[in-house]
Amino acid sequence: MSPGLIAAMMFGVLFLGLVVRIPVAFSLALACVLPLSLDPRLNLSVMVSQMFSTFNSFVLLAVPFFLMAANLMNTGGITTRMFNWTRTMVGHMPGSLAQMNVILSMLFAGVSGSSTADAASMSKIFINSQVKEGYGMTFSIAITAVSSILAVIIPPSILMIVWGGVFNTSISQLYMAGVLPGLLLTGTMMLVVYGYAKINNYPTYERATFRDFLRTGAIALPAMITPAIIVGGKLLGWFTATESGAIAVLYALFLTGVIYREVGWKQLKSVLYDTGSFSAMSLFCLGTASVFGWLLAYYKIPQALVGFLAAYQLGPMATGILVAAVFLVVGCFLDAIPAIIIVGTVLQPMVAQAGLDPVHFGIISIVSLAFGLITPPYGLCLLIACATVNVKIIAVLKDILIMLLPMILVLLAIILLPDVFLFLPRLVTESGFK
Amino acid sequence: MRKFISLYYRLLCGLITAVVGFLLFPVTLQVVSRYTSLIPTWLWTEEAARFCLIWMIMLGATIAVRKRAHFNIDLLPEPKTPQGKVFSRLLVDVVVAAFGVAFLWVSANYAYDARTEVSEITEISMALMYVAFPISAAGWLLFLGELIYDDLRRLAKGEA
Repeated sequence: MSPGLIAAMMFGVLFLGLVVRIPVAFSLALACVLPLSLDPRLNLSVMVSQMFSTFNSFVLLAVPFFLMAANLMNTGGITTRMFNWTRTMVGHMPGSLAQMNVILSMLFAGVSGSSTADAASMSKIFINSQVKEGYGMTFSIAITAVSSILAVIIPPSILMIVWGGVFNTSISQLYMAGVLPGLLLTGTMMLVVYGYAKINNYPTYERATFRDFLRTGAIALPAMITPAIIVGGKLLGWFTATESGAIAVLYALFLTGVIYREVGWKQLKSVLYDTGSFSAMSLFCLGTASVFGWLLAYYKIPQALVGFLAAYQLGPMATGILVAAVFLVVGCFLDAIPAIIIVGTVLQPMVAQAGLDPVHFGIISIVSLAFGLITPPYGLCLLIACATVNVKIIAVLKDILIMLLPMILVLLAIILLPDVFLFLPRLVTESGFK
Repeated sequence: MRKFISLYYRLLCGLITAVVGFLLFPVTLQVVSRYTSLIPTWLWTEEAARFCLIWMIMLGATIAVRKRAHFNIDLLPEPKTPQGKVFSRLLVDVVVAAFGVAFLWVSANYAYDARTEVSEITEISMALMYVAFPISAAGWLLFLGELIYDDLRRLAKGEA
């Protein structure tokens, strides 16, 4: 069978499975059953061995650790303490509560690496409160979901850790590469909120005093030390990305259990269960995706794609745009981690041939995949935000598109200005600062 | 039977909570041993953490089947009638169960064949790791059986 036929068969079964609502993880597995059964050189046990070798990874432990740290911070009142601080920072700007929503997601991004955890906690804090203050429901859902993607762009980031592990790219450099896009996207979201607030006359709070800023800042300070510990510890080479996740959990446990005393055994058990069940679902999907990705590589489908595209002689910029476009489309249908395994591995040989910097490839892909977290039908952060208030995704689509357009300009800037966006990563190596 | 399924489900929930809690232990020891002389530098910590992760994933995948929590995509509009919804669920459950039977058979053989293999560092039997796969697949079948039975009863009683 030719690579084209195999690819058509695999993607055909995958698509059919998704259409009839078979869960993504099982659709991916089913798409592998035919090639594994028909090819005399292969058999179904490849599925078990591939899944085992994917799960048997120290890097992947970062997923439950960062999710657990985020869940502890939400349960233990750390997020609420940061909320009060954001009030003194941007509360006086038009669309106060929505601006606080964006800033709190940015701050949370520094202490957590999980957008889904951010979307879950921010949806509970902000959506209903914004609606009560007169903000539109669909706007409130959209800005909450959109701002939650900052968690995987601003370090630490689960996606960057997985990317670094899969493609052997420096996680420290990816962390540094995420800083500027994260700040630019935050600014873009604040501008969008400003526009909405001016058009719809959304409320504005009184300006807080500098004293209030210092007082609430002091309360939030223990939480804000977290990024220094986990990102700083990684950049200084004190511990690996996975270990930094465990350190983040221990620090969050210390803060919420000992200092704030808001997490007892009951809450801890619930955090452990939530963390386990959610990260297991997402990692199980990664396992079946890795079998799918392995089969694509086995049949040399990535090489066929490279050969096909080599004829067009795409340069680094055009390749960057192609990578972003592919991940934007794929992100609508797949979760980010399986997309990295399946599509990232297909694109990598082509990217290497085009001469795109590996860190640049990483950050373009991660930002594009982060956008995929809010694009239907499978935008996990959007799904979470909509589910919190029981609103259909279709109702929020217009606001999501309005917010995404300026963000895509930021993505274009990341692609077209590599020297600007690679300035920070070039200051570090995997083991620390140069 | 239903009581057994419910008890088994609760056992899995308890196990995943314990495994996630335990995950922290070896990784913390790893960092502590590097920076202090309180404990020696053990090699088993990394392997123990990886093996716990495998069990956590397979336990979570089983729990999610009963909760119907595995992520899916709404590419088509949801069926409007209650019967349509039941048929749509039954189709998914039957296909996943068929895959579960194949996965159970293949993974059980795989674990059986690995009974003489031992891990690199802790030298425990690799079958203890691989067995997480058939146990998970058996769990999918148990929970899918319950879900399919319930949906068929709804159809038979005309409740759907």
